[in-house]
Amino acid sequence: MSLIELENVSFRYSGTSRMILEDVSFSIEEGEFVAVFGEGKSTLLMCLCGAIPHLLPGKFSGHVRVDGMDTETHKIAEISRKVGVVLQDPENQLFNLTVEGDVVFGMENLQVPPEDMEARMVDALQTVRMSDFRRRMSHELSGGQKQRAAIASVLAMESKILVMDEPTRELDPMGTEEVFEVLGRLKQQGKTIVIVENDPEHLAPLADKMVLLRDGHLELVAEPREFYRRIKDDKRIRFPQVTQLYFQLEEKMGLGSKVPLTLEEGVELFSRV
Amino acid sequence: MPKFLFASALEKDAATFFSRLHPTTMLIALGCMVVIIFSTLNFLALVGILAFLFLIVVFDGMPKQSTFTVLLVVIPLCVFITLIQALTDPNQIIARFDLFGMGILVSQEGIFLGLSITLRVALMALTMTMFFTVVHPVKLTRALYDMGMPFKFAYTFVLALRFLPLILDELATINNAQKSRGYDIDRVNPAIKVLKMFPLTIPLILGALKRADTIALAMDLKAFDAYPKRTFFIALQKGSADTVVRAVSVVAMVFFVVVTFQGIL
Repeated sequence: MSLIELENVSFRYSGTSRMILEDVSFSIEEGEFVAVFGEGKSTLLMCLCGAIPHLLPGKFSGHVRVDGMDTETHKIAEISRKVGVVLQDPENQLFNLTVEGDVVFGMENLQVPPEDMEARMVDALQTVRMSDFRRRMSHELSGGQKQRAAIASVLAMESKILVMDEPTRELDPMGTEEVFEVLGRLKQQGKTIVIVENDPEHLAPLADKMVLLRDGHLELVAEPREFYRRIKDDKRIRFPQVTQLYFQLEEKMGLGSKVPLTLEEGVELFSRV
Repeated sequence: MPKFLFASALEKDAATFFSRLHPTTMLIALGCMVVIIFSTLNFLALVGILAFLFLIVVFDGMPKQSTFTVLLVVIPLCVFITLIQALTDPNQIIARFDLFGMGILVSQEGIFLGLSITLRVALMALTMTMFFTVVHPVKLTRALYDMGMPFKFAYTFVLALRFLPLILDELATINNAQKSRGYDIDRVNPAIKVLKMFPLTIPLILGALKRADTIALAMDLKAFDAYPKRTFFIALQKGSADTVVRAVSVVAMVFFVVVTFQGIL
């Protein structure tokens, strides 16, 4: 059984007639890093964490199962034990005065015994390289540090799945680099990650699977090289620069069938020509 | 950011005698002090209480400058109160003068009453500042929860402290954006400044409402208030110093109330 299963999921927000998601079905295996593109991607993430149908008003149909748990029939608190969510603006996810307070916040809500909290907090802070910031005031951190603290607060809840809605959108390049470094480490640790993000340079090397939504429908689910090849004429999706160059020169130079996703792969490919 | 509100408790990490006490002890001491302050309008008694609080601030090692800053904030209000009392009290007139054809009387009793009310306001401000300077907000939340307050209400204080700097930052951003369009509120007189502030509050309020929605969503996704009970990382401990402070506070309060009602003060 897959870790996440979507079955004929449809949704429209209250007060609107437009379907944001329509009959969307696909599955995600444990340990996969999945990037979601297109229209309705954030809504899809809200379905995965149970915010839809529990918190955001609208008409929902279909089934979302995370680790065997139907999100419609289980409470949001139960789902939060399985799915941790990181939103766009880190300012809105740090509710406490210090980093330490934020990392323990979810654990306290989930009634984790106090004697277990220290070890889980230390682990989470180490993973995001924020151990030295434990007692720092949240409002004194940089954007990247705040987002890493937000990720640590979710990791400490020990949820199997990490859902991230444009976690670097509000960050400068340095902050973006920091967050993707953490994501790389989490992928290596086998965490299942579903992410909406507009940074193809960082995303392509990490993703195992890419999902494209168009007009509410699921248009494509594929591994990154296949994904970019299938949508190479779609101007609405940003490609890694080296991938874009490959598609422009592919036929003229006979570059072979392996689509490069990183600069290193591009250098290797073009140096052979 | 009004850093003095919680600077000591957070930054020195329980470095003073009072910041090491159980928050409930400090709440009891605060309650007793409020009763004492309101139990008398005797000028000398209030001066004595002020001197006592000064000594606590000095000997407990609380940050003096930030703690006493609050007294500067209440000075204009105090001057206003004293002036009104001095000019409106009909008893013990010590001076008369003419202003635009109106006879103005200055009352000695009014001056003392005004100064006493003034001292009461200053003492309240100082006491509250001292309380929030030494009591860690998170520990206070925990103590309020232990006393039976629902966590979502007890937590409001921490949430307010967390987002206050953010709202002030947003106000500064809106102000700068308007300045760049020629709408300058900084180089006008204070009355016009207040009027010109109103348009700035609209984007601030709309932004705050939108942010509140997202914060509520993020908190729900972390199971906030999902279960009737919660655990706490911070442990609160009560020692013999707590017992002493509680006893001294209650005895002092009873003493003040009794002597006041017997007309001694």
